Amino acid sequence: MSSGTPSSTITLTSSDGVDVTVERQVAERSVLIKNMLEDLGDSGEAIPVPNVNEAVLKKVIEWCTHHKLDPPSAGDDDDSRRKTTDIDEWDQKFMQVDQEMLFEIILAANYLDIKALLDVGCKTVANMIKGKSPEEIRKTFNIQNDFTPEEEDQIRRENEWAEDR
Amino acid sequence: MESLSEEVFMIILEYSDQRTQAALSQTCRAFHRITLPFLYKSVCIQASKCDFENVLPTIGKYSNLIHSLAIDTNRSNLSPCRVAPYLNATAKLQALALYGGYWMWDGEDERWATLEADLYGFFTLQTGIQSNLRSLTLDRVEKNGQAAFLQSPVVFQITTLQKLTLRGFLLDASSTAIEARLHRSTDLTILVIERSYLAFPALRNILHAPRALRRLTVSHDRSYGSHELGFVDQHEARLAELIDVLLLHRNSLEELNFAEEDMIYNEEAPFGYSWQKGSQRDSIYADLSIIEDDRNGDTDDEDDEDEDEEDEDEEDEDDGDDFKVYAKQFPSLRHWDCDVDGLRIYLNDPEY
Repeated sequence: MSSGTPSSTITLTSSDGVDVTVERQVAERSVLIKNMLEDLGDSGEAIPVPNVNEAVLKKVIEWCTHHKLDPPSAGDDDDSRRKTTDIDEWDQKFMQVDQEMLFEIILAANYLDIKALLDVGCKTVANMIKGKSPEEIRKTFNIQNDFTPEEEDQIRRENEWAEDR
Repeated sequence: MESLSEEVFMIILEYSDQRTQAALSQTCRAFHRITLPFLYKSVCIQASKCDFENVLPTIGKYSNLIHSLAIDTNRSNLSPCRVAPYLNATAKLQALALYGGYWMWDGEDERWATLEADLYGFFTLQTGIQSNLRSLTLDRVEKNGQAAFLQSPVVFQITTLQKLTLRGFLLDASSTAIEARLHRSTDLTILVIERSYLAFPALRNILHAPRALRRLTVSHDRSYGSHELGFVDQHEARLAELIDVLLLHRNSLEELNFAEEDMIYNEEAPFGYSWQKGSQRDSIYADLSIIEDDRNGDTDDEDDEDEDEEDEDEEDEDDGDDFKVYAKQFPSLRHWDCDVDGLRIYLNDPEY
């Protein structure tokens, strides 16, 4: 039974069963965890994070720790937030990870509902593909081309108007 | 990247420019399917930079995805109205901007008049259905000294249209007669008529259509009053008549800009002439943003408010001929860029 002020740390259990202790304020950057804490009260029990393994969880916590004092992002649902692909220097360095980790961080941010981290991850990917040809994008992200040559040619012709933008 | 959910991929697409979206759509079938609604949401085509003939069927194919469409045929000697048969009146199209096209007759190289008629046919369809069209720009970019005739007043009768911009037109009473049943029936809030000859009887007709106009901008060019196919009779009207017409929108009119605009010799301009003020554009676009700004409370106006108040303070020191005497009849009017003398010149006011 909870009483008094909530404890300043909580424990998260990663998908591979590792307990990670984290400042409550840091963990509450995740809307999912914040809501769970509000629903469960201060039971002191570990909160399972079944979709995120230890390595990714630690990276996410690193990001949340750095940004724990950030003001809540205004107008999360506002389309205007998605106009610039600028990323601050710390975030740029943070996102210098291998592609698999980058995608894992993005998926974790999406699952844990950390919109600012999700945006940084998506901006990083957008910047990685900017200016690349279809073939270069395929190569970068190991995408299988499942078009027939005729389909590919047709789509290329259809998209011609957007090529010189 | 295939491991990312569709939801996440869509955020990446929102952060990607159109060229990247086009490249992504060509990588594989799954990405093509997800990317198309983003890629075709806002389409901007410059005929001189692509195979225009080839692009048109694509517009038809994806017309249900297009919210904003801008076509510029300037420098190509093609009519932007070629797009007309590919437009879908019941689709999502909210903003349409056509730059280019001039001749009032069919030629050997292009069926200018026929294609223009097709476009007005599309506009006529827009008046008969619950259309989505909110913004329309028709910009005759050629500078050969003649304005274009408006084929019909239908552009003033599209009930859903919120912003209408016309440039390079010769507007007279006959081409602007609004059906009486459509008086005070349209959603038009912003009307911009620039680099055009706007006869006062035409303005009087046009202002009968909107329910509540908020902004009116007129740049009247006398040199456009004659055309080799005909000319407009010189109108004569009194200032009181203009005020009477504007008073149709007394409770809504917030901004009024009136200017005489003349072509001046400019050796650096493409045809040796340019316009003194207004009507210049840096890039082509279908003006969806302005509609969205209006929906969001129009912050531009708020930004301008202080400036306008200063303007009004200055105007208090002016003499009795200032427009402020008349502005008092418009409780919402916050900004005007005109004076009584200028309006009287425009009107050929016999009392002036």
